[in-house]
Amino acid sequence: MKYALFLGCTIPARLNSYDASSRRVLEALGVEVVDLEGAGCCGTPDMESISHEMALAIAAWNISLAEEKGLDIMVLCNGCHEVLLKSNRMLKEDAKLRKKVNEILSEVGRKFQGTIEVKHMVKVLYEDVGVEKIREAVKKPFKGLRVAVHYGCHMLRPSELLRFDDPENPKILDELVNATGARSVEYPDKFECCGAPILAVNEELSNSIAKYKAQIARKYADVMVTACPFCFLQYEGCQVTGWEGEQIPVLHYPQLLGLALGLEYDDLAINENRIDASKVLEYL
Amino acid sequence: MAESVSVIRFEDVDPEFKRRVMAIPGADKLTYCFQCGTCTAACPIGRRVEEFRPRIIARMAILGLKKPLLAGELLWLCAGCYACQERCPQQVKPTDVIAALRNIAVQEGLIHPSLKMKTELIAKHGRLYEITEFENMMREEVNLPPVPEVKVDELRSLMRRVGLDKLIGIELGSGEG
Repeated sequence: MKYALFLGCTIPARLNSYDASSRRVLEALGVEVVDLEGAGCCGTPDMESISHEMALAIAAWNISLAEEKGLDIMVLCNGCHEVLLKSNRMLKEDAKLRKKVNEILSEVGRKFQGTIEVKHMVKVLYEDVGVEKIREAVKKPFKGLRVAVHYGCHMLRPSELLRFDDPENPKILDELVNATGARSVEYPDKFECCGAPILAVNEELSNSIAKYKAQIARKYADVMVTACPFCFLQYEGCQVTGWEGEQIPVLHYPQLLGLALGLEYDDLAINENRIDASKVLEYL
Repeated sequence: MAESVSVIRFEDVDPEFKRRVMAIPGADKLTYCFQCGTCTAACPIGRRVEEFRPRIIARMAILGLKKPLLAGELLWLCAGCYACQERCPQQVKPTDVIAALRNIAVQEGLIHPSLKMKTELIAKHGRLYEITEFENMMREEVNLPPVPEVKVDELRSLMRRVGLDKLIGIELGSGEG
């Protein structure tokens, strides 16, 4: 199990906590990662809003860098997941599109070959490692901790191309949470957007969407769990200003898993989270 | 009867417009829309913003009400969450239709300023954020390796090749790397 780790934009600039906790957990479970040299922004759904053709070309360019290494790509960000996985499948399955994009890539002497896969870390944990093996690796199971998981749109949708899980009734992240001994709860609008994509267009609206979900989550759970830098920043950010009452901590999934695996709080960089999450330790 | 603002006059519509939208990959089933409103029911933005109705956007695109469709912030409020796309019984792919409409808005010089700004950052740094020594120092504190450098010259060459500089009016350099 060896992957080229695709960091994207937001994680290296703003969320070392997600990067560090992911690497610690992957290492503990025997998944090897190497940084993908040369890669940049995945193309973001934003580039697709400008030019469909350019967005595909940028995604294909990033993918070609991993193809050169002969490694599948692992992403931590739902945005990168949507863009890279979708583009990878579209280009593999549509020869005409592939030809068009490869004409653009020839400008820099590269080619999309269609030889690798793109996988979200959550899928790697679920498929390559497996829930059973994770459960066996858990040294300090949580007891009685209620978790509100937030999948995030682009882990699941568009399902036609991402084929991650049942888009209306996904279970992968819930099962991974349950494997730590914690309990993933049901809550209203569980699969709805966090509001992040429109942050730069209408901050107030974007924030209100996150706040709405965090308020619901607080009612049903002790902690929120995400597996995307944008969703994480939304749920922490919306609780920092204009938030009334008790905050609900937000953890990156590998932070939750890492604690159950017996890794240290600070090694998982949970101390870097803006909302104090130390109360989860009481459930170990 | 009070003057109605919802009357659509044929002088205002452009029947060719839908063809332009449908030529963009993902939007080719636009005219399959039978106005059921499932998209609007699924939309987290529509629930909060009165004017944002994916069903209406699809109708306007089919009719070719180009001006009101491309004006202002309407199209840019879509979060791209694909909730509508998952549920559309007609495979219209409303999220992809809105992305296609945004492509057209960009071609008409109506790019949202925030999007132009983000694109400039990506063209400059290869990412939305610049990674400096400071970021790498912070990474060291949590035992992370430095962030690999982006082959930003290649990225810029691709952007030039598709004519992004002319399309949205940004500087991409001369082409000499």
